[in-house]
Amino acid sequence: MNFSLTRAISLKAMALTGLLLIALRGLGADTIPELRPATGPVSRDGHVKLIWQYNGGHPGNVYELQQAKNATFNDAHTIYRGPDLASFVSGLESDTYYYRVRLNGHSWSETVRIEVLHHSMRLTLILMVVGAVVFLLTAWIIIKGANQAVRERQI
Amino acid sequence: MISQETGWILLGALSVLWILLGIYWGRKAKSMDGFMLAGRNVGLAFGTATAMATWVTSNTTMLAPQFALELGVWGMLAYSTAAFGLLLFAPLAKRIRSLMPGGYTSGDFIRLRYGKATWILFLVISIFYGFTWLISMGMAGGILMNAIAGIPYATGMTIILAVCTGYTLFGGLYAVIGTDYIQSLIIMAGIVVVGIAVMNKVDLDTVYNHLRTDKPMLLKALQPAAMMAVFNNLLFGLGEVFHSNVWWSRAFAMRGEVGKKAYTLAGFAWLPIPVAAGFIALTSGALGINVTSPDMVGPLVAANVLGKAGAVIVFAVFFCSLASSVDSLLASTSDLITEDIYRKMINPSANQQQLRKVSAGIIIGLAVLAWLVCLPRIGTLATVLFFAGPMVGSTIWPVATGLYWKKANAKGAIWGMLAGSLAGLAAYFELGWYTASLVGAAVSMVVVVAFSYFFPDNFDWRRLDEKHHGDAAQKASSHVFH
Repeated sequence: MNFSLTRAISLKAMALTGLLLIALRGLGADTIPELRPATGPVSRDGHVKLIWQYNGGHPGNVYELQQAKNATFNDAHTIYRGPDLASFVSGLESDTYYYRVRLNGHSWSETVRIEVLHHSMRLTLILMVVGAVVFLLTAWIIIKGANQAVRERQI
Repeated sequence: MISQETGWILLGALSVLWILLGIYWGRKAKSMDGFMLAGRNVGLAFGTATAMATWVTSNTTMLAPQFALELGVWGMLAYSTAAFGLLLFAPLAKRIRSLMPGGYTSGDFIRLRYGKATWILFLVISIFYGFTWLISMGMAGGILMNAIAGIPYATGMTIILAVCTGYTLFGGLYAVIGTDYIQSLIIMAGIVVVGIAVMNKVDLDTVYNHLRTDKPMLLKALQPAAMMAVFNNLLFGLGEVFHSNVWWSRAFAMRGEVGKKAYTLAGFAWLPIPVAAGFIALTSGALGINVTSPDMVGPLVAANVLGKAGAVIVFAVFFCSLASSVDSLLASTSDLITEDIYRKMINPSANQQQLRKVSAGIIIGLAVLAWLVCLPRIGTLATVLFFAGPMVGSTIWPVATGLYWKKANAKGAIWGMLAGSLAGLAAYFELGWYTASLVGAAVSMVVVVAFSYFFPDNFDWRRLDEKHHGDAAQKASSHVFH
């Protein structure tokens, strides 16, 4: 009888503890914002827009956004601290960048990995030369044509 | 930032001012020539002001800072190359006025020069471009009012479209050019004030050090996307001005030799504006301003630097720069549809009153359509506007050679626009928006030159003067097609 009672109490205690843990975990998760890049995980032009959302958020919340060059964030630095729910980061060199955000004093979000891979210099120079040629030829036909039109009118 | 209440007062005051001026100038528009082309009698001061004010659009005041923020110093310079659009259009304006003294639209030129098939393709490109420009500015209006005064995006966007539609309806091109003149004065005064305030508030060393450590690629000479953007933007600017009826209608509206001088002066006056507007974006990091959307950086920094009083000036400047372009686009796109589609295709015997009614209906229809597309805020200003880049770039060579080369022909123009648009769109999706106009223009150039060399035409320039050579021109155009 005593054994049964002890067992029943133990089972109830275990169930309550489990429920409590689930509830606490749930409460904790509610304070973790969800972070994502506005476009894909690869940037060809050195900029990225990061967006986060937090279900229990209100206008007074302060968020902290960190950037690092490795997944452990041991070289992390804070790039934004404030109430906004997005941040536009530009001027990045070719490299891999890691981002995370948190509600002030709470746990960090999942890490977002962004790879910045600028276009090749060969392609860039080819397009620049093509652009310069198109522009110069356009200017040339206009200037030449305008001069010729003046001459024709004089004749 | 200013309070919503102040924002509403400013918005109301400026809206009433433009509508009253529209009604006042609209009294002059007694005929379709008056409504569409301001009586073909615009002088140098108004001509220069309208060209400059129209080119200082949301694209300059909001997109130039976005260029600087995304692409750095190169991006800032890339944006200013759009001045070449106005500078190289100056000789074209003179040529257009002398070849087509009775012309109405850029579509008229393409129809008379290349025939019906090229004309239809050109209209599709031109109307699509005009519409994307209109959408980008409706969006810019909503973004601006939200950033500076906290007015909801949809409300701000609705009001700016409604006000511009109102005064364009009342006064046509008379109202557009008249309001442009006042708006250009406000824009120039405002930019000087903002420039001085930024230079006083920001320490250049701090800006440089911040960029060097946190955004190093913005200072680098070898930034691939930015380098590509230089000629892309230059050619986009050329394409925009060369083909768009916004600029052709002004060339027709300016008297005699005025067009060439007005466009040259406007080009030089416009040149430093994107550099000044772009520079303030580079200071955002040093000022500790978090940018949530790149197209908001200009208004955000200006309002932050100038405080509440300054934000009032910024609000007025941005409102004027948007209004001066929205009105021009509504008027010129409506002209293009009224003249080229309604009068040429549907009802050639339409009288002045019918044309005026149709034109008004088209202005309202365009505004409503633009409003519907603007509502969901589909992308940033750059992505929306530059989507038309390949098509716009592909029109440069058909227009320029069409005005100067007798041997330029319809096949070259149509295949140039088609191949250029397709290649440019492929570049837009594969490489990025900063390559699309460049690729479109290059492919179109090769095609136009090849067709001119292998299948040379011998065009008679007199056929462009439709009033005096109407019958001959019609025969010739059907000859070109078949």
